[in-house]
Amino acid sequence: MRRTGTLTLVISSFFLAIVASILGSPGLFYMATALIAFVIAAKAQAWLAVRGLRIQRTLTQTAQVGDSVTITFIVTSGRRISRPLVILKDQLPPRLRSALVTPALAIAPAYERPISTSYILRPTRRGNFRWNEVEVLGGDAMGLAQSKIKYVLSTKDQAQLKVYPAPLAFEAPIAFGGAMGIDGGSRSHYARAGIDIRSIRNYVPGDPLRHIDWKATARTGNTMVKEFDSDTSLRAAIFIQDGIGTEIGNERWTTLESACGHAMFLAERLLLQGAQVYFPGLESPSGMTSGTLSGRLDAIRDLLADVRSNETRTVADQLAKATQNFEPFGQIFIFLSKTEDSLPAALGPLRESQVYAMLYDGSKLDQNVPKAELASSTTYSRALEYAGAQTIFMPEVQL
Amino acid sequence: MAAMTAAVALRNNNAGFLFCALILAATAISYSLRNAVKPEENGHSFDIIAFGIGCALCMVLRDPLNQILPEGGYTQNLVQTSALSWMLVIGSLFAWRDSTLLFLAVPGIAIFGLVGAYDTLEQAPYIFFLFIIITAHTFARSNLRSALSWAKKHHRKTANQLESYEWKALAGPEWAVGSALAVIVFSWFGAPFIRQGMSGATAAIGATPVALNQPNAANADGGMASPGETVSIGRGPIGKPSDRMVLSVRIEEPLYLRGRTYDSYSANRWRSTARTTVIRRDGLGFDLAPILDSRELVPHGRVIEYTIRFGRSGARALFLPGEPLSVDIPKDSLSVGDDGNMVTRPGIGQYEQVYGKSLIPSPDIAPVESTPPPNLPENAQNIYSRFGSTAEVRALANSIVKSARTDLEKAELLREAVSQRIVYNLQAPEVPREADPVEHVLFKTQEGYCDLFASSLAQLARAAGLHSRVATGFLVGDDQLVSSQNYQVRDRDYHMWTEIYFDKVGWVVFDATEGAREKPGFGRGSVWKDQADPRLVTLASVLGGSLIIGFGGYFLWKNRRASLRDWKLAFALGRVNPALDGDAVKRAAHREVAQFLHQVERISRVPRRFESTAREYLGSTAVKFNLPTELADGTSQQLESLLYARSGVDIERVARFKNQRKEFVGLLKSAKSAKRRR
Repeated sequence: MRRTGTLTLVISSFFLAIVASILGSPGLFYMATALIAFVIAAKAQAWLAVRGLRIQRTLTQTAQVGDSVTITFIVTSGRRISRPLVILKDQLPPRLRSALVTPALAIAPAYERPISTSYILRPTRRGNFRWNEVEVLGGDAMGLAQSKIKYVLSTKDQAQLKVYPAPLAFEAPIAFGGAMGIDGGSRSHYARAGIDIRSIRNYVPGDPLRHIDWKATARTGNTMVKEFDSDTSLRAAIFIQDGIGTEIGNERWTTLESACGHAMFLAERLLLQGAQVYFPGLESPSGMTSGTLSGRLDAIRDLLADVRSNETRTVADQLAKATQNFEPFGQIFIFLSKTEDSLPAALGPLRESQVYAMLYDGSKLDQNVPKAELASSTTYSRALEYAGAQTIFMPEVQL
Repeated sequence: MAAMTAAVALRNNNAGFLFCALILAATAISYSLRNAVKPEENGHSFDIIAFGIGCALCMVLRDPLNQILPEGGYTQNLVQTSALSWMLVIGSLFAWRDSTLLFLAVPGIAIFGLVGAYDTLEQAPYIFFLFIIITAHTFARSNLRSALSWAKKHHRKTANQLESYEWKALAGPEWAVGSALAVIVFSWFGAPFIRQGMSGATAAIGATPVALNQPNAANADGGMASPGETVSIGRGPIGKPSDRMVLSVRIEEPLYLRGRTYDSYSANRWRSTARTTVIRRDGLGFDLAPILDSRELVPHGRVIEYTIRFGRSGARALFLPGEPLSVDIPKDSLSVGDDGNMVTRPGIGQYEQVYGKSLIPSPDIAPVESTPPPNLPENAQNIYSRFGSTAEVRALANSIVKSARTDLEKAELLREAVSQRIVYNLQAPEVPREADPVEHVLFKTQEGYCDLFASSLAQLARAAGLHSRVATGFLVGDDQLVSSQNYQVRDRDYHMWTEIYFDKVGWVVFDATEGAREKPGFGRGSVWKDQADPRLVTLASVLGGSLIIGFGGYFLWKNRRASLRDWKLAFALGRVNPALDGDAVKRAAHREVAQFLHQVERISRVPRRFESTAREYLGSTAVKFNLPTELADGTSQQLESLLYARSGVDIERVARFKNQRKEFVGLLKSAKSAKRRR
């Protein structure tokens, strides 16, 4: 609205100038000159307002999808002038989808005196992002004119943000480790926790009650649980379809995002049950390091943050590679968005493992995808079942 | 301000008072609305739509709205000014929303544009400058309010919090006003240059300022720019011309400066039958001899010299006394009529001068007999015929001149009769189209201005057998004398008069407006500034006085607890308001530090790296110039104490730092010059 008003004012001033020129009226000349100079002065103020700034940027390095990330700018004026308010806008990478929670407060940069302002964004997609441009928007004191300029910050002030997937809960086809229910009475055939205590950590929902270390809980005041060395016989592998063109979705959400979130949840659950979790398509056996549960979880988050549907391989390729490089797995979880003709055949050699195919119906995210190409299509799910896989239709993610 | 300016410019002050009252009332309503609606919270935008609809209605209903105004409103051709003023009233109802303020400025500017186009109020630019300052301040405050409301909404910060940190160095309304003042200074000095630079183009375009009631012989600008071949008379009320100087004339005695003559009268208008010839500049000037027969027209005339300087650009007609003998003007060509009228193209620029000589009737030869002028073209033989007048006019003329023995006596009697019969009134109503203006004024209304005086006398003279015509131009009188032989001719001096040709004498001027009765305030030569309404002056004084008392009272009330020390402190820091002394000291301290570091940077030519602290920077500079490290340490310590001391900063500490700064800078300078010498 303000911009329209300004435009009207500019047009009025030029109209006045034209009339003054035509009529040669001295009074009108004074008025027109004053009005045009007024508009030019406003423009000049706006132009000056955004120049000669020194900007630094600070932010946390990592976040999870849905977390609030505070990004702070520290701005100093390099010129000894009073400035109208300026607004700083980060030039976020296009892939970094986010919801802006609070925009940066407009500030008046001061000479030799750092002023900070920050904004909060909430990433809605995973990824590893870097950016170093900041757009500074400024106006004149009257709010008539606007000017903007892009500052390219030094490498030191380059922003780097790794967004991990948020675990998306679903009815995972696993029994909870050791004990189900409040009394811990119903044991699962997966729950084969080891005997040696590896460490003691804070309780997280889903931990078996029988693993609570009551002494440590009494000592610390927090509910603590014991971690045991896992039973090496429980080995799970998770595969995510990440070939080119397999991601179905729109600007807001995709099946790959869902798969990563669900995989994260699944991995957490499995690890909490004491299982060993592998992502053979994303990591190699040599690259894996054994460590604490939280260390492994961090490593998995890192892996999942970088998953993008730009690979030329298929899930069948991943399975074949995993069979070569890894020891056999007890359970195999495959997250699929689109049909892959070679996959049912690739499941043949895996008769000894329990294979779960987690199928996404991407038709709601993108209606242009032919139904026959959807992994959740009846024909394809049956083909997978014939090949020995247990199919699970994944729930729609509520955004 | 805009509405009042327009009203004053269009001589309807009462309309201005009404608009002021309505706008104030609308603003008061708007303020109540603001409190009721709380626009920051709900963000309604219906006001812009309502304002738009209101503006459209003002345009559509401009006539009835105009008629509501006192004194019947503005004249029909100025009704758009009324519509714009009504838009201001409507807009004031929505002044509670900041974005509307921007739109509200547009009709204001448009009104000033019209006032400038009418060119009847010399003070209009000054008022406009004030308007610019107020607009800048209003816009800046509204902008700040918007930003504050936004900050409150998103960051929950109060004005005090922002002013103490994020907006501490803000260029706010004072900056806007400062830049507006700079703009005005620039315009004041720059506009004449710009105008002069464009004078060629403007003269080529050759339009004229909007006359309040064009075409009209009594309107200065209409005639000055380019007198047409015809001129209508009896066109109703006209705006009073301004007091602005248009010509500066150096001449031996005051004379009428003729711009154009009209000899053929019919259908409410005068027409010129003169044939024009374009002549080119030849050597030192223009050769008028082949076209004009001035010596034959005025065989016993006296030669006078003149210099006329134009006070404004855009004029195309030359205004010359008597019958031209020679003329010189810095133009390549000149269009010369056989009646002696001259027009240039492109127009004459501001300060350009015309030199020349003319013949004027000699006072030694008394005019006796009126004859047709010599060398009258065949097609103009009948135009001086007495049969151009109506029977009533002829009867009146005969009754007036029956006692006269000579043509000169006839002319004098007729002039006297007209001046006694008609009342001079710039507000005289328009003559109905179906009526003959001369008959109408002589026998019905008996009021008018110079065009009706001149036309009546010319027609009566023709009816009495005299050879007459009318002329337009400027009246130069003793009241315009500024120094010996120097006259300043103003807008208000534009005029129409009658000329009667006498054998062996030439065209003799008979001005029927001389000695005529005048309507008070609308007499001959009256200008706008005479119209200053005492009520307006009183209102302005009361408003101005109230503002001064109000602001003064508020200021004193706000600072009622300020002690003498506060005032001293404020004075020492160059502030006018001691109420914020704590902040002022803090600001002064920060300013001292910033100035000091900048000074060190400038003298030492050692740029300060962004990441280096002041202590590091002073230390490295001291090392580079072999200054005592204790000095750098001491200075840094004082500097830090100014910025970061827990106990706060006081004026004594600032003073101590000033001394330390002085010492450091002095030593740095001497170290630098010593280094240079080495």
